[in-house]
Amino acid sequence: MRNLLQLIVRYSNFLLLLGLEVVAFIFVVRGNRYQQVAASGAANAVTGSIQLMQDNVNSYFRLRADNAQLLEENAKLNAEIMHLLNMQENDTNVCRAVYESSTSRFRSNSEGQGAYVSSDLDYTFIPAHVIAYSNDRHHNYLTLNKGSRDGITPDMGVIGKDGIVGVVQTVSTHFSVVAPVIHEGIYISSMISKNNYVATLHWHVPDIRHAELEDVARHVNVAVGDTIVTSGLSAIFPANMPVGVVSKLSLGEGDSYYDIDVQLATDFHSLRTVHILQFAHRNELDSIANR
Amino acid sequence: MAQWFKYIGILLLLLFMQVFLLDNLHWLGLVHPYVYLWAILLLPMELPRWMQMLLGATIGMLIDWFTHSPGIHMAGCVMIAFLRPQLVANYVQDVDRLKGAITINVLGLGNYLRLLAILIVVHHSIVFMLEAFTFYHLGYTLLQILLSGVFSFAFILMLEYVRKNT
Repeated sequence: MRNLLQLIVRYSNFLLLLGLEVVAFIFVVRGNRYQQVAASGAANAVTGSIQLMQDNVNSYFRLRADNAQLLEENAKLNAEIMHLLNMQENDTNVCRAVYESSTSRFRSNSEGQGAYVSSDLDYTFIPAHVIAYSNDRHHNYLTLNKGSRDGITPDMGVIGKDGIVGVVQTVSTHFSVVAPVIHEGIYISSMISKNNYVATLHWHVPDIRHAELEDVARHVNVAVGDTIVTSGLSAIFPANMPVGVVSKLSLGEGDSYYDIDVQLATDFHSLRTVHILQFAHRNELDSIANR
Repeated sequence: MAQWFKYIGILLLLLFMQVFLLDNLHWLGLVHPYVYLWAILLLPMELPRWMQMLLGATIGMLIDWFTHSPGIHMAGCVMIAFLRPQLVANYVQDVDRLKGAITINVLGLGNYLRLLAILIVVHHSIVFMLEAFTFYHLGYTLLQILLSGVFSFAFILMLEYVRKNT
């Protein structure tokens, strides 16, 4: 017994090292799990408000780029309205209803920034700013300046002006943390636009412009340049949101699945403003799916 | 007491530099220098070793907190806080009687560079390997360790010279 005690005292530093490393390792393993991406205080008030301060300074230096981005988005929305108005001539009743519902249901939230309701599937779009981000890791994240106060909850989809961005992971009162498409724990249910073949989109380091489309079987008709969109098979994203474009394609002699490279629609280098998708019937859908 | 105020000042400065500047570099997705580990070199040697390791763990957890990477930096910091006195003992005769920070003045330039290089390699290896958590892209991870290590080394030397001359 005394020998054992002496041994423990002699190696106490080494044992402490082992103990602390084990604790750290447990943190790593727990923190890396998909659902807990950023659970360790990522969305808490202290780091959030520091990041917000940082963003307030940074935003002055990129006003020009932000303006350009917003203008571009405006142009796109205008084009869409024109498109809808044109359709209206063809099918007056239906399209007028769609157009009016998407404009007249415009409402304001607490900050006076508009949230607007998409007409077709009861998705509400909540605008948000990216106040911090990473793009050089295996598990990247974005921090947004909207939180539970604005109605954000985990598992909501996030889209940018060009396409899908990611999925909300954790939420605090004023902030939320998003695991973007460029996070190795994220799998996006996607489909090939032209034939509705459903496959899974998954990214891995280091190229943040490209991801892989998995599970596309040999017999499927797919080619470089095909558009990939969301499948709509989850409540996170509605169907037909842009994901990317097939940029490289290969099929070995004996392979039963394609190797497909997809150029992502969203450029994570210059992402500043996004929209969070709030699905009105989420609880209903969850409860009926789990019954 | 004054020594501790100075230390906490330097620590805050390093955290600030790390979180606000270096974590935002994103050079090529490869270079991610970690200069905050200089704070562990500056931990007073007269502290008991368990204390040095606990302080190292705390510094690591602070960084983890800001970078949303639970445990990763804690693991790296604890390891170098443990190794530092062992390594210093190779260069100095009475390591138990050393007081204060480990600096160029204490070790001499050659030994300081050697110590710094070893600690950076150990720390960066742990951090980047744990972050990847796979050996699948091992080449990429090794390149990350190498390039980031070179930049960390240069930055820390710069800081050390600034400290020495003020």
